[in-house]
Amino acid sequence: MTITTEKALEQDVVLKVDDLCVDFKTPDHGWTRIVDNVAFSVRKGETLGLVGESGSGKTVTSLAIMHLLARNARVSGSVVVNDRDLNALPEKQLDEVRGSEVAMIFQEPRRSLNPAFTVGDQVAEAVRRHRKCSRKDAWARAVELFDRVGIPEPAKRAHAYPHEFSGGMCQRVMLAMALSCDPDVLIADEPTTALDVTVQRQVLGLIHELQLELGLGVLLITHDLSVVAEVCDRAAVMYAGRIVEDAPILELFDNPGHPYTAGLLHAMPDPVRHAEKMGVIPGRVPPPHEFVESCRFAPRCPYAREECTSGYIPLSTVGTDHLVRCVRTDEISLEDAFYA
Amino acid sequence: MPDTTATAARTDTRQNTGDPALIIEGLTKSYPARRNLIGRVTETVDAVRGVSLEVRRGETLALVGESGAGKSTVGRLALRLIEPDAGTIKVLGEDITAMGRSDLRKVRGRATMIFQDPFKSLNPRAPIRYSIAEPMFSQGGYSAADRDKRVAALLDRVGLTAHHLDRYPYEMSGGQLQRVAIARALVTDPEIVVCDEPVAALDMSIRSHVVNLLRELQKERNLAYLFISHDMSLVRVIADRIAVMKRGEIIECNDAATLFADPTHEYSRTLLSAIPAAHPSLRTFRPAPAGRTVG
Amino acid sequence: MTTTVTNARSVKTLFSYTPGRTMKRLLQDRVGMFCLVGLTFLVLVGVVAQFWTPKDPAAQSLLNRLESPSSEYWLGTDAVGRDILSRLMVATGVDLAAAALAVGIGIVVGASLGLMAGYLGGLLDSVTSRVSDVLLSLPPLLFAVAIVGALGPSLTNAMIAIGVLLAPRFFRLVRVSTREIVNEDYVEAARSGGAGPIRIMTRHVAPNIISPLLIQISFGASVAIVAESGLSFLGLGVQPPTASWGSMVKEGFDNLAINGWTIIPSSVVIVVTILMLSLFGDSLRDAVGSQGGSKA
Repeated sequence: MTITTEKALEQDVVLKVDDLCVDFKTPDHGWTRIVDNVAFSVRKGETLGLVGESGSGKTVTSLAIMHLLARNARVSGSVVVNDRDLNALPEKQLDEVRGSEVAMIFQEPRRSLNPAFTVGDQVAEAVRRHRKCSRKDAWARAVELFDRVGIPEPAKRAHAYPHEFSGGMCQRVMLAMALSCDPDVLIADEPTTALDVTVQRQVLGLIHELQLELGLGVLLITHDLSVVAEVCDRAAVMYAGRIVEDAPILELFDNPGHPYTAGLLHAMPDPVRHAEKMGVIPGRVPPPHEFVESCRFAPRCPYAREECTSGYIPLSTVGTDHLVRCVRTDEISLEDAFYA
Repeated sequence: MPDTTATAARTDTRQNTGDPALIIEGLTKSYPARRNLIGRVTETVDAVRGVSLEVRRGETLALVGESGAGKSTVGRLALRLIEPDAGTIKVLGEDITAMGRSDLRKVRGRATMIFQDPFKSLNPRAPIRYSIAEPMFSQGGYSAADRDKRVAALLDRVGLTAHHLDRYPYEMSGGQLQRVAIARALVTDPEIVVCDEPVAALDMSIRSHVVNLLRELQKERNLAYLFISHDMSLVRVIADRIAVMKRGEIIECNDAATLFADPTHEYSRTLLSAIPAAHPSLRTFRPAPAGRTVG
Repeated sequence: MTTTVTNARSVKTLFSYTPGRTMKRLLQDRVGMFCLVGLTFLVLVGVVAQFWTPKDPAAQSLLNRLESPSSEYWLGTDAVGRDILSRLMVATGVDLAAAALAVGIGIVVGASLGLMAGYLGGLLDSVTSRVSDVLLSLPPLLFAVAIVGALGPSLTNAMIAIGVLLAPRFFRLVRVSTREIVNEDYVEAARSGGAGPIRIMTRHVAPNIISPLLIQISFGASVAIVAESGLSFLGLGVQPPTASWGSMVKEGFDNLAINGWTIIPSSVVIVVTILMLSLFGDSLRDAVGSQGGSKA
């Protein structure tokens, strides 16, 4: 079941997720599986993009990794960070790992910051949480971090409140907080979706720099393939709770194996190809209580045949490091898939 | 250059774009930023400063810029959903800047708007049937049979079926709801539609549906679109002309192809260069990982 | 998904503004449903009491004063020998009707002013808001006593007083909700279609404030009942020989030394009714959940 069985032995895997399943108890449908046996790994210094639209389960996956889900969620599988399975840890030890080894930044940075405290206070608090040090030292570290994430006049700005910052600046503050204890893994959930294009570029650039400097493993969750193209080394595509493709970045863009990936790629606006009409994937993402065991994309897939709907389809290897969940991937050419 | 060819091809298939459907001149709007103790305004924020533009029938003018630039405000001013502080607005030849309420209501049938988030722009307590038909009720002059006919026809045109009529927004998806919003915007046969980020709240794979629909409708009905968006890559594909806004002002307005090929203003250049790469080989942060290619 | 819609459709006809999902959730809430049944039972008792009670509630029997429950008088007798059970039944009708009246006044005055203040803003808004603030700052029961004192003790006047008491709360809720809704995109969309203020208030604002309003009503009814009891206890509400829960508590209280039982039936009914109203209000709030109340 695991994707990188050989790679698991490699020393530089900082985050390895295996057989991760998340079930939610909903008032209308009882226990429903939202995330279905998801597995991937992130290496030191590498950025893995987790790509999916709403309903794919990508955000739930990231929250499950960080153990931030509510009590009506059931998580199984393993989440190994630096050789420790987070799913097997008691709550108290989890608190230690969260923030110091794995850190997370979220989509709307302003909402993640407490409006009642200065940004300096909040980052200093994060520092003190995981390191025993005095208030003064924690504050100094906060200012140092602000400088590193490119906030101008860091010593002065540390006294400011979140509402005085723009979205992009808030995201930098979040990054400072996330990095305050030198984590090995950074999970970024749609960090730039709410930001303008120019600010997005700055924030992505910053994440990239920090990764190079600190050797972080980054899990970048996004629905935007162009963001993936810009900063990711690998990408895993999620659809309806499952990983349907996992490949190195060039391979994914040049040689997608799964029709859904091709659909997403061809949906990116292209002035030449889309001059008259844009590529369309018909149908819609099924809600979790309608998930089937066989291919969940089949109802929307122009290549679907009987073998696609008859039983469970596992991930298969189609190239170096390239996994695809499609029985027909060798038979079909996806160059013109969902063109227009 | 493939870009200009594509735009040229698009120009050919456009119908006669004749009269301007919307002309705004010197539009200004400011909001109070600070009030003193007795409530008098001491400081203002200039949301829109002396904006002028023109949208012709059958064309799409994209209004782009970053958040806070004032694009949405311009869109709302153009339909007088907000009152301008100064400037003139001419819709389909009529000056609506100081028009009385009942006259303005008649104009509302000819110039409509599509909003960004379909879940927010449709009343959650009203069935789809009512939401689409409401403009006809508001303006009056449509018989019941008329209304039913139009609603049915538009529902069909946007790709929904009759059994959606009695549904409520929470039972439908974002893509479907935006199509309902489009149906509502067209139910009174407008000639100009202001689209305020109509696909920003939708998933990638759904956007194409909605964009295609909008384009088809434009061709069929010779509609003028004022297309407000912050998504430059989308705008590049669908806009005929582009106006770039920054801090309440239009700093550049040009043909789409020309703007992308050779932006005049510094800010336009910054905006364009910030568009993320469409392919890893085009990225600017670092070279795409070598050695991990086709197996 | 489709089965949910079909089930809800039949109930939709009862509540034309509430889509099926809220109703379904409400029906599944056992506590809430139990309370609703209980409250309905009380209403029925009150209605039935107009036509029939086990014994004549006004019939005095000085031989059987202040008796504990017996086979003849199921809940005992009061200070002048009247059957407590019969009086309680009549009192139920009186109290519930009074609460309804008080809440009704509160809504009519509060909600209508709130709607206008929220929609129109300006001077009207400022003035009514300040008045509401002042009323809210007065201690409720004292204020009610003052009004009744001015108007004269009677149940109707007590209810008017309580209605005035409740009005600012409804005003505040409706005003805030109206302001929020008026800023929603769908109201702007309606305006862009040419909708005028009337259409907006009736078609967009009103349906969307019904849910929070219903919740406030159930709590308002609790307040009304407690207030009535208090006023009647002080002799400022119901006048003898009419029975109300509050006056029965007073009678029981006055005669505590002789028979401690007589205070119990009316007190218990008050407590249980308030509890059921509150729990039902909670259930309503849960059922409405993220659909109506919050901005989730």
